[in-house]
Amino acid sequence: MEELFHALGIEPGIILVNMAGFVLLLALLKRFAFGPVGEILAVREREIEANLGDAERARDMALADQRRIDAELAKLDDRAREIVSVAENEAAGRRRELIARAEEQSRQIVDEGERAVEHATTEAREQLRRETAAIAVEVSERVLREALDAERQQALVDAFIADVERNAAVSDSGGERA
Amino acid sequence: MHEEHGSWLKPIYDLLPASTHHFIDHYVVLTWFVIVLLTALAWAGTRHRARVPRGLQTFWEIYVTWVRGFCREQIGEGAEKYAPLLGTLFIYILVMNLLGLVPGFLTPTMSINVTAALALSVFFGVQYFGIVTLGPVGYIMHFVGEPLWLAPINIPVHIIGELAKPLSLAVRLFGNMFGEETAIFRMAALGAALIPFVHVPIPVHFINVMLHLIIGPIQAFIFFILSAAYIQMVTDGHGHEEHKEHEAHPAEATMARVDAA
Repeated sequence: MEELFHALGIEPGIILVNMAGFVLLLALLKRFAFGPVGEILAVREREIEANLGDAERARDMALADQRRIDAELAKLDDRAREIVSVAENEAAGRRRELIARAEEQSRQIVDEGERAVEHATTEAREQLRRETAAIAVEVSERVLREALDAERQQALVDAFIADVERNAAVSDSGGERA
Repeated sequence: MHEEHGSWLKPIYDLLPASTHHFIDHYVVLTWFVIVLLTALAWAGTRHRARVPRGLQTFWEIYVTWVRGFCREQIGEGAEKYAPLLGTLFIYILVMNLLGLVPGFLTPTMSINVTAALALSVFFGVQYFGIVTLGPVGYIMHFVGEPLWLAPINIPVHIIGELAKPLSLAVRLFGNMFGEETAIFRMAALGAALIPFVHVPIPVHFINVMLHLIIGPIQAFIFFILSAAYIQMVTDGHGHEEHKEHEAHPAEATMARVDAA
């Protein structure tokens, strides 16, 4: 067997030394490469996981904030719509009120105008009546004081009528002006 | 062959007493060089562990991350514990495979004693992981197989299978690297022999060197991936994420990929 190994170039002693060399290298690389690098990778993995956790938490917080802000905005939107609606209703009511008041005022103005015209007409007529009566009294006094002939009486009557018409015209124009 | 052209490390070998030559040959000295080199690189890379990796630390971080990821993918969740063994194997074999391309050095993996040592290390490592993961009874039952009445056949078949694994690992790596180194040497010799006729040196071994640049990493990766597959097969997913019934067994898929390669 030993001769066969020797013929094939196989030396058990050398194989053992080579195996020892490999085991030594394995221990050395485990000590200087795989161990330290494994630690580095583990630390880095933990850091990345922690960072990812922080990032996820920050994202969750941001999402919660966003949801809260959206809810607030929705509330504000509803509130704004409500305010606008109330304002529109108030404006419509105010408009109707103003229109009604304006219509009432215009009616009052028209009524006051009509009453003033009526009053002026009545006063004018009263004044005319009084003046007519005064003129009639005056004419009667003149007739009684003076002896009047027929022509003179006719002239007095014409003059009296002319005065009455003139006074009536003056009263009418005064009422229109009022 | 090494006695013919040697390497820069041969003086160290010559300094050793003749009585040690049964345990230490020229290739052992070369493996020591690789061990020292890799240890120095690892020490330099992780001596000052910066938060933001630079230089060698970047290399080691990338490498360790890749190996750990490979273990998870190939063996299952929680298989990062095998990363030191598999990662050491790959980079050790890779550097040894490519060392022969450096002027003044030889490829240690062209020695059957080096590849056999690596394969036996994997073999014992796999058995150790099998016992630790499955427990002594589970480990034995792994050899017994199912059904129980077929145990007299299953046990020898499984033992032969287990022994064939280091043999195939050792012979594959040794054969490829020895063949490649021999081809480079012979082609270089051919180039030298042509000089009297063409009067200019022709690098006829250039293609072989380029081929070596490809074969070296490939062989290292095959050794690495098969070792992972053996661990997966012996632990059989215990302690790892169970693979689904309808999916191909990861170790079988690996073997198929290696066969295809």
